[in-house]
Amino acid sequence: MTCKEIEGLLPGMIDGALPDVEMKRIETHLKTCASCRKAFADLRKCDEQVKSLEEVEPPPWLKTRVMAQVREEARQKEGIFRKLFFPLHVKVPIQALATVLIAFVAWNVYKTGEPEFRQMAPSSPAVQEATRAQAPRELAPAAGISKRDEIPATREKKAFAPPPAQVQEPAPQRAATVREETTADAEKPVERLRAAKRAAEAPKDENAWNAADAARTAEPDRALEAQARDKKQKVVKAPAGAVAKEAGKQEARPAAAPMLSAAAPPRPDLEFTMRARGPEPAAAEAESVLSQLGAQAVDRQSREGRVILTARIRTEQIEVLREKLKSIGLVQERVQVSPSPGGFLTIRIEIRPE
Amino acid sequence: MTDDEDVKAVLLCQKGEPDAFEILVERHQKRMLNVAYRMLGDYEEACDVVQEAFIAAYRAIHSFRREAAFSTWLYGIVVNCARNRIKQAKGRLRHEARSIDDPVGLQDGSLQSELPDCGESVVERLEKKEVEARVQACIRTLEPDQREVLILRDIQGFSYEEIGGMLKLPDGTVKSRLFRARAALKDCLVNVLGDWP
Repeated sequence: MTCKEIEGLLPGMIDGALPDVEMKRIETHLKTCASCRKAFADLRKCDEQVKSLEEVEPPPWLKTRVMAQVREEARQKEGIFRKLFFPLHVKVPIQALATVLIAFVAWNVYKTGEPEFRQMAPSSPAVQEATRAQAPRELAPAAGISKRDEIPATREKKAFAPPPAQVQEPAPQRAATVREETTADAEKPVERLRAAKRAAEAPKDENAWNAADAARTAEPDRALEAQARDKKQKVVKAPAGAVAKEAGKQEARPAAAPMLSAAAPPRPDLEFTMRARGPEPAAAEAESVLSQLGAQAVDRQSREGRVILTARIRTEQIEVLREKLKSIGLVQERVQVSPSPGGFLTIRIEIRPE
Repeated sequence: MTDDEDVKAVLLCQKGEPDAFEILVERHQKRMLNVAYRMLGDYEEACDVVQEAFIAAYRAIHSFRREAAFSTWLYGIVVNCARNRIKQAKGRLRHEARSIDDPVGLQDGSLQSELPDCGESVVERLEKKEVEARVQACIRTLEPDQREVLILRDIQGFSYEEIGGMLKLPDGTVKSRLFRARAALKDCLVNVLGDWP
């Protein structure tokens, strides 16, 4: 080790900051080197001087000033908090009032929208489920099983259906939309499929459209039967919501009701539109004619000044009925299905004011 | 006085009791002032720096996580404040009125003529004062980073570990800076004092 290297390490000898090996080598060197010994002695004296420097005392005002500023800082921090919540006698009533106001507005909004929430919220998923569940049931019998086999499915539909009046009446917009959708979704594909199947089964020389008409003819028969049964049960007279409440056991029921009611309106074979001065007396007259002619399942509904009669009547009695109706008022006729002898036809008589 | 007392006071401050900070001020103000005074060489300025450091510490006391001793954290703040003050007022300090232990007044002998002759003790005191002033002057000639380490280690007696914590430096850097500071101070004092007392 050279003297220059030793001088670089000597400051570390002051407080023993060097490793022991280094210390011993330096001590050995110092024994033989006078200049390095002098340098080390100067370092020691320097260290003593530094350590002997008098300490200064803090002025008494230092602590006072520091604490005054600290308390001021704390007060400012607290101030932000206080601005929000204090003074209590002002802020608490304001905040309480605001809470009450918010609660009241929330309650009011809920109350105002409650009927709509009840109508809207549960219906859509249930209707979809019911539609999905219904479609296969309708399809299966159409594939060639007898008419009687189809009846349970139709009956089930009718059990949830409101009276026909509700189907035909102009209902609130939202309900109408649901019905249209469900009718489009549920009825049309089933009908089309059924007609197509029947057309395939029909003799080759017949037109496919005739087969479809036959399908339409068959369906109202079943629908009316089901309707008559449902009337006995007084289910059809109750609104859809009431049916749902009464039943309450099957989840799909309340939501499925509007859909099902739209899915099974009886489609008449014959439609008469009659204009009379007084629709009500004319209807009463027509109703008595129907009963005279032995009509079955006579139903009467009044709406918007019109009266609608539906009934089933023997084909042979149609001509007599036509004549009797003409004597009551001005009659227009629309034939949906050509009558076949020996059977029943479904008729619909709409009596309008002149 | 232990570091536990510091921790208790710090916790109280963190809970929102500013009065507890007075304990910390009481405990550390003298040492902090001496660190600042030796770094700056001006008593009034050192007092300002200590005050500034205490306020900075109070503002940041919620961020103190007890990873190191509170004293280490606090002295780190005061060293930092003093360092900033030196940087800001470098020119001003050089040209403004001299510090309390400025040796210039002693060099021209004016101070000795003003002082009453009160016997040997006064002379001894003046001699001591003169030596101290020259030591302080030499300390001020050191590079700021060397000066910090010398003050903290040789004057205040902090350990290398504590100094490393305050200055955020590894031990090796602290030691090398300290050795250079001691060597430079020795050279300065040999030159200033001539015959070593």
